[in-house]
Amino acid sequence: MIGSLLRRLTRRLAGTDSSYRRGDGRVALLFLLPDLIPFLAFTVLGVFATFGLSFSRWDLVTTPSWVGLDNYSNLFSDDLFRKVVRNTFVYTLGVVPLSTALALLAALGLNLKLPGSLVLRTAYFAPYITTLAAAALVFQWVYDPRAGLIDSVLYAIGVPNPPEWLNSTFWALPALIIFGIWRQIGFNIVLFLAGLQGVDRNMLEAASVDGAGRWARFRYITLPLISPTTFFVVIISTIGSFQVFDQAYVMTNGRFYPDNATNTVVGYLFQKAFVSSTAELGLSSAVAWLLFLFVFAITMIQFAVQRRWVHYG
Amino acid sequence: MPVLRERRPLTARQRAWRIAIWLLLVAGALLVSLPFIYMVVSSVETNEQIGALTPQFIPNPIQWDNYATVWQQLPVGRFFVNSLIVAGAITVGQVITASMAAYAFSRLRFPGRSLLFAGYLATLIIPFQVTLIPNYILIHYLGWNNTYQGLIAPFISSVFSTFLLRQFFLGIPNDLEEAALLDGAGHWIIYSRVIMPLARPALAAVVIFAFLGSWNNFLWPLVVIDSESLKTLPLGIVEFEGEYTIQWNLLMAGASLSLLPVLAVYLAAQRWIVEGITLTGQGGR
Amino acid sequence: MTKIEDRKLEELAIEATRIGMSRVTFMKRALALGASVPAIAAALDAIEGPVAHAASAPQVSINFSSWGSLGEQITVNKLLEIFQTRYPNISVQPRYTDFGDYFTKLNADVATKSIADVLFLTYVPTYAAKGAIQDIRPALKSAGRSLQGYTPGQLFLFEYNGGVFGVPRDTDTKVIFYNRKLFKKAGVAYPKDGWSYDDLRTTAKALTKGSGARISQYGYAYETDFWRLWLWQNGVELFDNNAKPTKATFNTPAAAQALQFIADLTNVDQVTPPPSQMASSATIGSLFASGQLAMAFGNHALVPTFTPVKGLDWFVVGMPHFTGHPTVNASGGAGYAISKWTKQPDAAYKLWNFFTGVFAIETFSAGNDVTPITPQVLNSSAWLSKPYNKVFAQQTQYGHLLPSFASFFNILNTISSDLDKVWIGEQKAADALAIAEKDANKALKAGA
Repeated sequence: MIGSLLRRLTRRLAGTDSSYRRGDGRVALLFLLPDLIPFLAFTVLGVFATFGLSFSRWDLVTTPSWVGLDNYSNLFSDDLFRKVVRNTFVYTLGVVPLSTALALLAALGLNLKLPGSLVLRTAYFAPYITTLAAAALVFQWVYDPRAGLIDSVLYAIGVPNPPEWLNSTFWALPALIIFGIWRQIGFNIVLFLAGLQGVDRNMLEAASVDGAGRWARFRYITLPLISPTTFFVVIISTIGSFQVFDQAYVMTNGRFYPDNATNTVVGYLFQKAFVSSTAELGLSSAVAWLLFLFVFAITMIQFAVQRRWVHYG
Repeated sequence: MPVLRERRPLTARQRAWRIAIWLLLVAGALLVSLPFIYMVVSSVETNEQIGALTPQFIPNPIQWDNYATVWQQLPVGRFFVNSLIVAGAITVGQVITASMAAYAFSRLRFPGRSLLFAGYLATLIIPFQVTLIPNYILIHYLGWNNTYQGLIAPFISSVFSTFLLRQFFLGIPNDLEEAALLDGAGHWIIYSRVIMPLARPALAAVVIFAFLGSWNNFLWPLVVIDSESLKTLPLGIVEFEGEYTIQWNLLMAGASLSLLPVLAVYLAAQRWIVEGITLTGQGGR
Repeated sequence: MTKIEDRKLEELAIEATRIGMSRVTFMKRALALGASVPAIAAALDAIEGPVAHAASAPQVSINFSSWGSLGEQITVNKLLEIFQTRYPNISVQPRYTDFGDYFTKLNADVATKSIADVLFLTYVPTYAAKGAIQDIRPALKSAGRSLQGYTPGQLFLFEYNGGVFGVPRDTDTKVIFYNRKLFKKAGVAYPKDGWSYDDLRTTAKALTKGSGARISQYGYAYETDFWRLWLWQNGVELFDNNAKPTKATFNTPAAAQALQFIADLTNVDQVTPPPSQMASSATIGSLFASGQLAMAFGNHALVPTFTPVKGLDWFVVGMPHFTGHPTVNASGGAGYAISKWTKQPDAAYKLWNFFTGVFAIETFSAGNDVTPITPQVLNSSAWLSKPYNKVFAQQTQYGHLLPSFASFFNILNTISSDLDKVWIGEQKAADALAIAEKDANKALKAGA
């Protein structure tokens, strides 16, 4: 009974109906194999390894020793872990909706094929392809509380106490969020543009002939038609945001100042695995699995909800 | 050939809208690419200019030799070639493996499909940093450390690309396929002749992201590569960072150089994304 | 190589044979002449006859890993070339990684037991504890080399559980770089050795131009992560024991006073950039090079970035002291270790021995990146011929012992994070120190 429940659940969550066709199994295997083999070797194997490691202590040299649920219970009593979980959550809440909405708006505009579209599209994509080290250096200037891009403008227009960004435990996370949105927008725009190509021009024109306004056309035709893409963007952004690390690490020289205000779950994991003197790989693995459980739950919720707003061809 | 459509002339109101939207887009683009512009500008400045309290957007003097210096101080050409080989192999690999798997996940029915796909997706959530060491141990065991294969193998398939293509394939209507099936076409024909051509925008997106992801990948090459002669570009240009000093201008020059191939791939591929409209015989899709 | 240098090399070779010049001196002078390494090797062969065991020894290949600026990399390459001529049967594959990522890669290589045979290393006790590097005393004994040249303090960083796991190459002597042109323009007297922190504050105030958002010149910049130096300078020790600590001892009024003084320079006196703009030695260095910073805290590594800057008239002065306390400076540097898993212990030792020898250290110092640790080099007339090095040499004497135990780096990071709020003015030093002390003690007890 659990088996059939599971089957029904995953079938629902994967979002499509199924009825088995004979013979498809063998063909499917052939199509899947090139993708499956590296996946099994380099993803699944690693994932199982970290699962086992999460119940052990490993200093990289001696054989791992079993500690049961110690790693997990240590995490729950670690203040720093709680802090980074909170930071990561806030970061995701800040980045995902904004970067999705802004990217969709920009993609709609770019899709109008106005003059200079190519240059504009490339400009929006530039943040995503810039080397992180270079981008972080530039943003160090952007966030300078005195002469930086943002605050010098705010001072000029008369704001008395502009945010101190990375010099404030309150503004550090917003600084990271803005950086995250900046980097993510180009990525999302590319995806939305691809999705928008599937929107039938004729349908839109027919609708406007019928008297549908701009907003109505958007809401009832465009949005539903690109909903698979939107769904994809939201899922990928969410998963990616929960894994934020690189940006925070480079922007703060690996220190996640001030006082771990910019430290994230993966940052914590990285520190334990690579920066810690005792290389607590077991603890990092436990962190990874806690992250997994949490994000998996969120993703499943997103998948369940998709039936209500995502329309497939 | 695309079907010609009757174009109604724009009303004044529509024109005003378009201008407003265009202005907004330009403002947004400027804002968003400002840091990028600064990166390119600082690549021809001196370190002292970069270190100044207010950034100098107009370098004086313009130090073009930074680029020459970068080439002299490091085997940048070698790094470029390595990055190209690795990124190229990974991109081609992912296009093939992901599209085939996406076909299976979206077009073929087989027992356990949903479960397998859910499992696939789930692995996206595991951060790469934590499987780094187990993967490195495997690569080391295979004797592939410090080799091209070691750099390419873990990325030749990608759950992200598979997911992307699967979503896209699901949006392609079944009618074309059913017509082909009635004609007696096998799955491979449907995959290569029907689905793939229609999937150009998504394939272009995969190309861009696979190439870019590999091009900028740092952590895996860091751990796998030992010799200077195998280093990829991100590893190479970070050599301008010492323990206490950084040659910012050379770093920026290296980063700017590093952008060129990615920009080229993007410009080539994005054409397919935006102009990916093809005739399907089913009414302008 | 032009004919002229050829002749000069010949003349040098003749002189060498005549006066019985040491091989080290010959190599140095030949390099100074601009002779290429193969030419030097050929000259050496001509003088002494080919290296004895070269033909008979089997070919071996070993790895050598290091970090450093590009200048240091060039020096390492040069040294490897010279090493190759001495031991043609040993081929060395270098592995360069930038400092920030060196330990990530090292940890991955520890997991596969594939670290380089000879490694440049800091945080030595951590890796000694993991059993990744070997105690060098047995190898030293059988080679007949002693550790006599090093003071106990210098070797302290390389000791663990009674063994010695490497020797240092350089030391992290700190100085204050100052911009003489800015001083002259402001009519302020240059800082003098033995000056106090009060002097520093007055000087910095006089040299800061503008205020609020319109600051055009800062008086001073420091690295927030060097709080341990401020503590030592005010007579505070970090732990009850530097090698086997059991409790933290840095939560004292003197400690709070020292840290608050420094933090106030930023938030009250406003003579320094905001902490995020002083995040690393690199950002401080480039601000100083741009001529908008009057005084910069830094070590010898900044010298090669400042020397080529046209129009930058700089010099150095030693660290100031807190009133009522003597001058204290930082110490501790990185050095070389040998992997415990090396498959070529003999070749590895030869390479290690070469890189920790006087010639190699002299070559690194000549490259101007480091303050050498070997007294022989530190006090040599060649090194001291540069006037600023006199300051470095003198300040090295005030070096304070850096605690050295396996989990030190972890605890250091934890305390640094706890102190972050002090530098940005969100918390008083006294409160932050109390929290830091609790965290440090917790970590010590966990033996983490």
